[in-house]
Amino acid sequence: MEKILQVKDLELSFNTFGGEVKAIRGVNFDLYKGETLAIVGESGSGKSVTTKSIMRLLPESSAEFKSGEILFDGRDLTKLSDKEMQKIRGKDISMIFQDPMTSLNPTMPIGRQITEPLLKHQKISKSEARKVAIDLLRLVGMPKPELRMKQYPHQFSGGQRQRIVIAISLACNPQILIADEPTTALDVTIQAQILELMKDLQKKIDTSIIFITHDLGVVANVADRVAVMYGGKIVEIGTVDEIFYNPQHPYTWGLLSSMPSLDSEDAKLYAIPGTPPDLLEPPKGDAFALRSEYAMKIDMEMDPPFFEISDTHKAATWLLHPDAPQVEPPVSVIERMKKFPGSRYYEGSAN
Amino acid sequence: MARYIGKRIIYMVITLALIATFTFFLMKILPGSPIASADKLSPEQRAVVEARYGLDRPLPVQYFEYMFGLVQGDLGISINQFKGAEVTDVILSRMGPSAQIGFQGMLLGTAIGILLGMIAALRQNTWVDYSSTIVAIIGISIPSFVFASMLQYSLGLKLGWFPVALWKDGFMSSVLPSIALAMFPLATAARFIRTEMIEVLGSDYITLAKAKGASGSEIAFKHAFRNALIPLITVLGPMAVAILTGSLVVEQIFAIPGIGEQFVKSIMVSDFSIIMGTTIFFSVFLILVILIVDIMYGIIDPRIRLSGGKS
Repeated sequence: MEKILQVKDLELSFNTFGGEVKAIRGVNFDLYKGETLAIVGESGSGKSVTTKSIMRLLPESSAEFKSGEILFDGRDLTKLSDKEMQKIRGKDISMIFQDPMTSLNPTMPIGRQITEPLLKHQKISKSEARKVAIDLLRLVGMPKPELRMKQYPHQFSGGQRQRIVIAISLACNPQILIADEPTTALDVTIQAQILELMKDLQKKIDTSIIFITHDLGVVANVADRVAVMYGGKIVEIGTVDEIFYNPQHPYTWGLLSSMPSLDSEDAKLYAIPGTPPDLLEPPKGDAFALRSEYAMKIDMEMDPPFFEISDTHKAATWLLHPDAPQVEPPVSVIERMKKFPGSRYYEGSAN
Repeated sequence: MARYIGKRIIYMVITLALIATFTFFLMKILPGSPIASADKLSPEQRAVVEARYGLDRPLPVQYFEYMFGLVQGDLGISINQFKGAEVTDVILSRMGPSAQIGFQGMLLGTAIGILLGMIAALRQNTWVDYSSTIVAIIGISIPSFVFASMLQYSLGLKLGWFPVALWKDGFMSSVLPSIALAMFPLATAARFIRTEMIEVLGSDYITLAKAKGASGSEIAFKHAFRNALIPLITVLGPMAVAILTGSLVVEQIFAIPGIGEQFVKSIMVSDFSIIMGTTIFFSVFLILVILIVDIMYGIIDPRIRLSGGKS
């Protein structure tokens, strides 16, 4: 498969009054053409910062690339000038934000907001752009698009606004669409509609999507591959089946155990103990060690490298080292692993 | 929209009636008499003069007569100035210069203030920002008559660019008083625009605009500016008041034959009818400014389209 974006050893820090916050500490991943890569992790794990750094949307006054590169179309995005970056934003890479209530300009008719990237990046007239905008609105399922072009954001519901934001992001047929928790601020029924819409549109325009979320239910629904982030690093990456049914990193175990499921019989939902690491002074060794009941002595001293479980599946945990003791994952995770061919708990296809 | 404005006009009339009533009785409580050399007149002479202006009748009668005249647009006649000219005529003849310096001052002040505020916000925490803040502090804390004197001395007397005072050279005469009046709106606009721009520039829709590929200037002018204007409109009312009260003093300093100057003179000689007339005139002006501000809200911010209207 064709790699459309490569993030290599990316390190990024914020310079604050309190000191240097190491928000991204060596992130590596590739994005393939036409796939959906979900990045999951708790707040502060660096998932949003990673994607915002791809778009270079972080405040230039405080955010600083320390090392690594972001390769897109043969160019390193971290080194482009502002002008060059402007030509890529909205055209090749576009973004959908979390809160549709605040991501549209309240004093500009939505028609103008949709045509803006078209007029900016494509050599078309205003009336042509208007036609494209109406088509886009129709594409995202907005009834009576001609009439609604002149309306302002406050005249739309939250779900409709997110549809408009999606229409804006798709205006120039981007190669990469970054969706930063696009359904978090919406209620559940609307969430489902927006997810369906995104899946549908991806098939139609063949774009690659980076989907940031902390909702594992959403991940299972939309993603082809999943990257789990913790403490500014990717700790496990694999296909959606590998992550859900054969997870290897204790943090992934924790995440999956804390997800309610229909057949979980315990009344109490699991919660990962402790708090996320302070990235002003990142811990030595595995950042998750202090919260993990599976931590070994080496976790406190050395950062684990990636161990390959399969061609597509990697996890950074010392538990995968040949010398590490066999540990039992949590019960709910074992239940999942029983369904995965190739895992040591596999019981054959149940259905 | 029409219904809304209609409703507003009714409220305006009520407000004006209250202001007129209040000012009328305040005037009557005040010590002093418009009949300047009252002491030298014999009681008979005095009675004649008072009868001439209707001052001999009981207070309620005077009040209702005044209000009745007001409804017909008659503000009475001047008591001890202009040989008994109509108050309306006096105000109208004096309005020109005041309106000119007021308007020029307001325009100059807000335009430069907005510019300063924008630059300060876009170059936050640089020397540009700090100097614009200093200008704003000076503009707000130093009263306009101090600026007036400073301008007279520097640009008028020392450099001789503009006439020091009097209203003889048309536009040139209006420059210094306009600048003096512009300082407060300038400072206010600069402060408001800076704060609001900084807030707006940090909002999500600006990030989205950036994610669309908009350049820095497109973001500032197409997306941020209009949203940053809303709070400035709120202070347009108070700014108009500042221009009005400022012009009372500034006109006096520059010896401009405007309403403000006339107002001050009339207070000195207790010319009740002119004071009343001017107060009502100022009130009408202010109430209109407030109405315009409310209508402008709706134009600039579609979320505040006025009730009763169908957009």
